[in-house]
Amino acid sequence: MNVDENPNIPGRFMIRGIPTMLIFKNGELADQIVGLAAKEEIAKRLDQQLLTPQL
Amino acid sequence: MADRKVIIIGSGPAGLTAALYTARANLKPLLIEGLEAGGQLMLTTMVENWPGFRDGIMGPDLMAEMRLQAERFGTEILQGNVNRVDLKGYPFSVAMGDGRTLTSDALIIATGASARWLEIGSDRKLSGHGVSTCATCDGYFFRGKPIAVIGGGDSAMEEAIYLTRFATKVTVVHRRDSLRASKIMQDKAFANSKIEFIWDSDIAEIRDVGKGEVSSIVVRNLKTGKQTEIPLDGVFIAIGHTPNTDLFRGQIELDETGYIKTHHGSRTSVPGVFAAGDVQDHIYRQAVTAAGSGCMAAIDAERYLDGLPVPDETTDNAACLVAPPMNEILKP
Repeated sequence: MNVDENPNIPGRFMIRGIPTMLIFKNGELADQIVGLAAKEEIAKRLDQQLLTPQL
Repeated sequence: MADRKVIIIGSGPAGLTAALYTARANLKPLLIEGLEAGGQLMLTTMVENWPGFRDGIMGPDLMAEMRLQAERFGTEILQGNVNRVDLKGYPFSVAMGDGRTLTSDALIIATGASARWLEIGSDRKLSGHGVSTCATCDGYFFRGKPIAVIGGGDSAMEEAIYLTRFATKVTVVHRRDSLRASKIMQDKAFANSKIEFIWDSDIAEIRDVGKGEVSSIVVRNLKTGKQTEIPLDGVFIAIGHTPNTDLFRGQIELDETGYIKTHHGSRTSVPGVFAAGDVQDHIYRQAVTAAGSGCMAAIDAERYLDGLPVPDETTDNAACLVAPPMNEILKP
């Protein structure tokens, strides 16, 4: 999202830097990547969430 | 046979200018963008010293134009990062993050430089959680909060002044008792009532790593050794840059601070490998000098591929260095 146009949500998640990627699983914040990340790294972090069993 | 005549690594002003010139020389260059696509100008706002734009141009707009211009003449641009290069044999090979490997007869390195960190542990740990190296990116998050800027050069002053738009107070911490910044930037900073200076001091620690947010800095006076804790919400580090040369370490000659050594224009210690921009320049570090050196690298690469001798740059007419002809290099 554009943080300039959405000041509340970054505050709610304590965002202090862009780009930040928040990964939600079943509506819950599961992981967070701050700063530039390669596609491979993003894929790995998403896979980690997909591979962990649902609680 | 190599996949390409020329591969360019990096997409800042140096890489894109090298692409523009090699494309116009019909060398069908492949440019690999890297993670920080567009380079350092993507993190700046108004660029007022790029010749030809009397009212200035926004950094990202300038890079978008350069990119389109390079593409217009046939540059192929590949997204992604280079993980590994092999410069020990011909053709050179370049391994991408996604597993692809590409080969090239000539290589232009324009990987630039990245912001330096304090390397005190807590700065890296709190990166993106209150510690930043980019005021234009992250300043917004510190609206109404006190922050610190570390450094005493032009970019530190620029960041400090910019951050006064958001912060209630900006504390500049500098190792020396005077600024390295240019007179005009010093005057601007001293005149700003929101900026306060702490001299002769460095940062011992940024707290609070345990909580995952910045709550204070511990400033150490280098003359007295006295430590003072200052509560604040953000820390911006502006202590210069380090060249992005980890990929090439051990394969081409670097200077003691890690910059690529060049000779006779853009030539490196490996014939066929050229370097341009901030990766080989710790003195000028301007967009326009980066672009200029990108042009040099393109012309040098073109000459190399044509098997032409290295032009003599000395005035006393010392013997020319002669590059090995391409057909010799390409023999199996």
